[in-house]
Amino acid sequence: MRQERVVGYWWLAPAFLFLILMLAFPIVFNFILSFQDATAATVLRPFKQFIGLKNYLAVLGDPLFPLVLRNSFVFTIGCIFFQFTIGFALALLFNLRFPLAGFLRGLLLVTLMVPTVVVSVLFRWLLSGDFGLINEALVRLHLLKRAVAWLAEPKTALVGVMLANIWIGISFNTMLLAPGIASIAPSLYEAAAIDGAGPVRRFFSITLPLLSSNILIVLLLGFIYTFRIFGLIYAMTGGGPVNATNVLPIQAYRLSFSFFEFGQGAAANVLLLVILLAIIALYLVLLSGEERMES
Amino acid sequence: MKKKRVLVLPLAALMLLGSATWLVAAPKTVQFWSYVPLDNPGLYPTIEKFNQSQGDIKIEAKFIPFADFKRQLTVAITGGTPPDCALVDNPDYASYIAMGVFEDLGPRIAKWEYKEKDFYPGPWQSCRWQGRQYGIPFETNTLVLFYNVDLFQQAGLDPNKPPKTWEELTSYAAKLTKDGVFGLSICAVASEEGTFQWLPFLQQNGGDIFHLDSPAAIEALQLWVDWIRKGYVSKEIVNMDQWSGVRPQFQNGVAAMMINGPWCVKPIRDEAPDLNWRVAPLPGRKKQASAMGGVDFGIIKKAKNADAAWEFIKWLYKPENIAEFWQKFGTLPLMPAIAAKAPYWKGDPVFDVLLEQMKYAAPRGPHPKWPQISTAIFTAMQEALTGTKTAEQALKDAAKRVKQITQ
Repeated sequence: MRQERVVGYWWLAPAFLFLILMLAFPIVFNFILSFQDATAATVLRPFKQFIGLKNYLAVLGDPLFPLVLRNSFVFTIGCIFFQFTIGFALALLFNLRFPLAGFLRGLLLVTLMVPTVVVSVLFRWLLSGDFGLINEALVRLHLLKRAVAWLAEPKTALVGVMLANIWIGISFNTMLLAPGIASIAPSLYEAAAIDGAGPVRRFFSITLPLLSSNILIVLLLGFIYTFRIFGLIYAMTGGGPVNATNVLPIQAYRLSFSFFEFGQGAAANVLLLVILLAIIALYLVLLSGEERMES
Repeated sequence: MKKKRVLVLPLAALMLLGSATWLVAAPKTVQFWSYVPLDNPGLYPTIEKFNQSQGDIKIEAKFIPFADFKRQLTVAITGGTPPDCALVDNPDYASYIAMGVFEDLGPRIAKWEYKEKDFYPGPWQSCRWQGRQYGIPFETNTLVLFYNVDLFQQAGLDPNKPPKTWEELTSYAAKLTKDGVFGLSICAVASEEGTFQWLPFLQQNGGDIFHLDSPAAIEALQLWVDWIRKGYVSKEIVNMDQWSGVRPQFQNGVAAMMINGPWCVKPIRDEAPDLNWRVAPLPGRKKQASAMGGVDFGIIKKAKNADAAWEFIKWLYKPENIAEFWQKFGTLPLMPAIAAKAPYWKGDPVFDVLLEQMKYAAPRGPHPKWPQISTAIFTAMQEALTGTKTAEQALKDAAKRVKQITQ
């Protein structure tokens, strides 16, 4: 038995090695870099000086940082709220049996297949203040008095990029929730209906509690994906206008590859990682609480 | 059996011969990185021509898209696997020089047939830092005013008299603006391009980047703010780059005038052959000024094939090669002597204006922290243009930022 276990670990070794090389190494390297003096002038020196927390202080002390952090959280929470509620509603809808349900559900996947850059160009046109379709519709419906240059106004630009990202993310939520919904035994609903529970009651007392672990994982993955957003925003606004859509990954990229402040860029990335780890820790705590409840 | 041997012998001989010639004449392979698109009719055929012309050196060009170029080059350099030579956007050049990436070309230039005086001063300065020359200007461009002749005539303006002052530019833009048509299109995107477009106005008014809170600078930004407020220019310019934002507006008749560069000439001629347009020098104020863009060629310090890369430059800049190269590349010539002789630029009214404008083109920086300075400038532009701050406040904040960056 013991012998077998040792052999088993050997079989796992290549995978472990791969993980260490491809995942752990860059993270550790980035972590070290975040404590070093690495700017345009010093990055090529064989031994870079350790400067303690200076990079972190520079990143955190940047007058822009509170705005960047706020943008990151507003973007992430806003996107997840709408992606999740709309995605959940669609998952419930597609759980009903009606003609073309399967086809339509498959069609939803399109949003995941379209390349990010294509989505960003598409939404830049849709949201344009001069000739955008969304403005045209809103003005005709008398919801707006005159066209809004969504992506050109600092007040609305973040909403604009969120719209695009919500559109991308809805199907992801639907896809992950739908199997969970389908796996709930119909007999539960029938029994509840006989006991006089209406559809709303059935949803809150059966669907939601039974799906809670699915929901947790969907929200967690959603948070991680959304918080790390880069390509979509980079292609739609580049973080502008006036930093209105500047989020943490964009700021880290700017520090490293526009300003050549590699140490500060690394520090910004570590901060990003720390925030995500905190969220994952919260998830694990919630999950273990749930398991205890079940047992 | 016999047949086989007959075949084997010559084959073996061939293989021996093959490996022998490989041993004798292995060409040096020079790794050359750039973001020049692969369909550029200048760069790649010219490299091919050079490779065919001799057997000792083979230039291997690698294309990396502009958006990813700085990242990849920086990663390669810091990772210890840089190319032998590269083309870098000129405002970024000083940063790479400060990084210690490029070889000081002084000793090589001392033995070259050309000297500083043979080049236009702007491009030459762009790869110079603290009195040393770290690169050779490779491509250059500048900004001019493009205008739509038909829309001028419809508005009762004389197309032979393009605007010469800021006041004229504003009043022309006012007259040209009508439903569905903006008088003017410019670029204020949150990138180097935004800074690139506004700097000429700053310089025309006698301002400079180290005194962004001066009245001259504030007036230059207020000019743009007023254009947007009065509707002569689209609000969207804060998200419009020069190539895919400003150019299509002009090309499709949505903007009657635009400020843009020589890269627009060929596509407009090809894609909108019926558009009746001309170019004029940028209107001036206290003086004439325009932006200077382009890329510089540099040899990576201690590169294995540095000498071979220099051989390529020496070949390329020979008079019989360079005029044709620049013409096919789609750039303005970088040497006055070539510009005066080569027929391509001589007779073309558009290029006449561009070449005239080139005399007033000033490089950005050079400064190793140019990217930060530029970010402060385009941020101020966007703040003022979107009404987040007044032009005065935005530029005061930018001036403070520039002081922090450069001290």
